[in-house]
Amino acid sequence: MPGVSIFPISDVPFLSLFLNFYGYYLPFFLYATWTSLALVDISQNRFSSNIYKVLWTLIVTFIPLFGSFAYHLFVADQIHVAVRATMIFGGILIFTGIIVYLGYAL
Amino acid sequence: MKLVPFVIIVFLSSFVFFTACDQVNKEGFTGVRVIDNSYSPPVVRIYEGGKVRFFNAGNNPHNVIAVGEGWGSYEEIPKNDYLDVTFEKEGLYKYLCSFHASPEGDWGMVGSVVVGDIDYEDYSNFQKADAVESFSGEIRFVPTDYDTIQDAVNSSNPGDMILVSPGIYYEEVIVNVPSLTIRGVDRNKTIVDGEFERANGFLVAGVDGVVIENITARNALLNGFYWATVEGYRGSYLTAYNNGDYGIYAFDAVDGVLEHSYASGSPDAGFYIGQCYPCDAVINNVISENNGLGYSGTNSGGDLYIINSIFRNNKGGIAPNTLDSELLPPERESYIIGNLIENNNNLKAPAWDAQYISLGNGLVIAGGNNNYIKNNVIANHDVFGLVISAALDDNYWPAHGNIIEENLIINSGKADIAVSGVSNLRNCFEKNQFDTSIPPGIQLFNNCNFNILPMGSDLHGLWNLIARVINANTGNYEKGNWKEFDAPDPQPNMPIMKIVQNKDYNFEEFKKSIIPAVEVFEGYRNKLNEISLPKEAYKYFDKNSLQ
Repeated sequence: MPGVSIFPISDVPFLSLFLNFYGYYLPFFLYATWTSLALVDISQNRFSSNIYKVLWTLIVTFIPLFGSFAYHLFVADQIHVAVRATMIFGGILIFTGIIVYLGYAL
Repeated sequence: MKLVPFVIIVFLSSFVFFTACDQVNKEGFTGVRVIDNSYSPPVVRIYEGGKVRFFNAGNNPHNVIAVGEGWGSYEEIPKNDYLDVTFEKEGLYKYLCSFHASPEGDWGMVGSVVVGDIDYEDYSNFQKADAVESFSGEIRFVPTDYDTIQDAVNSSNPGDMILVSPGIYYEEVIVNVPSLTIRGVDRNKTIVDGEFERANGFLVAGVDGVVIENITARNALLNGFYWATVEGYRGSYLTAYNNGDYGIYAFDAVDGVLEHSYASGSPDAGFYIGQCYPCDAVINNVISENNGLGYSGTNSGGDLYIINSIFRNNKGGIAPNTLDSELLPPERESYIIGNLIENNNNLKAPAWDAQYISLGNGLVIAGGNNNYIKNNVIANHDVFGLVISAALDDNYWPAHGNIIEENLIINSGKADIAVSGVSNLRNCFEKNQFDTSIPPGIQLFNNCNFNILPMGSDLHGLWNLIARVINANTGNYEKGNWKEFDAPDPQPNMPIMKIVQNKDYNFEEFKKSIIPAVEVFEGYRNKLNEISLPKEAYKYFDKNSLQ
């Protein structure tokens, strides 16, 4: 059958194997860290009304990744901005980097 | 900032895991089963410095001693124990069992170890030139001319035909003449019976071009039909049932076809093609049921086609796999196209521990690369319909680059499609019809045109596998006794033999059907364009739109 051995698979470099494993789990790690730190921030945040606290808790809990992403970007003020920026944009950057590398390497 | 140490720990721990998996370990060995009274396989090939493990799976005392006593030992290997021998230098090592062979090693329980890349002629009794391309014109009739099939084989010259009349033949046929055609007059009534005493129905060891057709083999301790270390083989219209290891078995054999055949009641695989690359082999239009596995192939591939066949009611369906214990890893480039794989959840099927592990899975690619899976119907499996899994032996073998296209995979217990293990790279899924996958969205994210997300590291299937391995090691699982299955329904005869039975044929026509197995794969190429699903598969389309 023509066109089957299209991937140069035989000698996969260690880095590709490693990043493939790491890249699969990274979004789960990001989800866990973003969500838990968002909840920590919400618990310490002085909202004008408790209704916001409840609302954001629901958003962060039930809209995975995007909810906590929005919270860290627009609302959070208890956790240092550098930590949040590293966590959010650093995470996205590393994930993008992995995909680009794997796409390039194979 | 407490996040940072956590990330570092995760990073480091996965690194350690990987390093452990990636180590190249030379602790592998090639296995030879020692049974009453033969070695299986009778010829093994290993690399220089390789180890052979002789495992006594028989009931009688056996030993392994070199012809000329250069190595091995007269001490008997206890039952279920083994003897390891390491071979440092290239060459041919012949050995025998001192209880069951002549001291010179010219008859009885003998075997050979081929170390390194020495020429084929050096270890087979016949040279390749002795395989002849055409029928010699000589037909030897059993039992008219010879009492047993073995007598006829021993009297034959290359290119002869042995025509076996209906009857039950209590013997093991060891074929040591190349280019023979052995054919039964009636597939269902011409039976070679091992009586649970002899090793194989037919054993073709080291001689090329042998064809076996239209005959049944049953009740052998090991295999129904067995080609070992040959170039050129064909098995057509064969029935193998209630054999103690494999049904129809080609090992270290290239350029062959197994077609229109049936295998059931074997605790290992019904059909097996292993240790070859490129195999240049075809399994076409066969039925495999009530076995440990429908099909298994260790370290095989390269123009290996499994087409138009039915694999049903086995413990596990089809399992191309990679193991360090045999040569030529990994398994790769098998083309599995147009098969029906259904209901492989059979608790009553016989099995060894290794086959039990695949219970409830339709198609398992265990550590295989660049396989092409297309147009199959895979239905009704308790665990996974199709699972691409890494294999862990002495080395870690991820499954890379498998292409899964246009299959119908339905009604699976855990998931229709699963990818399992660590770092399976670039498996792609295109136009399959299925309901569930692990990880989810596999066909969306690992499409053959758009395949950038790393999704080959889900561990769900691995947990499932570990649970099965633990269960298998306790030996505490349900399985049937391979000796006790019912005989299969009568299977279709070779068309020309149907005509012969009706005595309505001319001899010239009959002669044309006698073709020694030389350049088999090249001659078969045009049939690879005529792939169509077995008609039994179409019932699954009634409820689905796919055509």
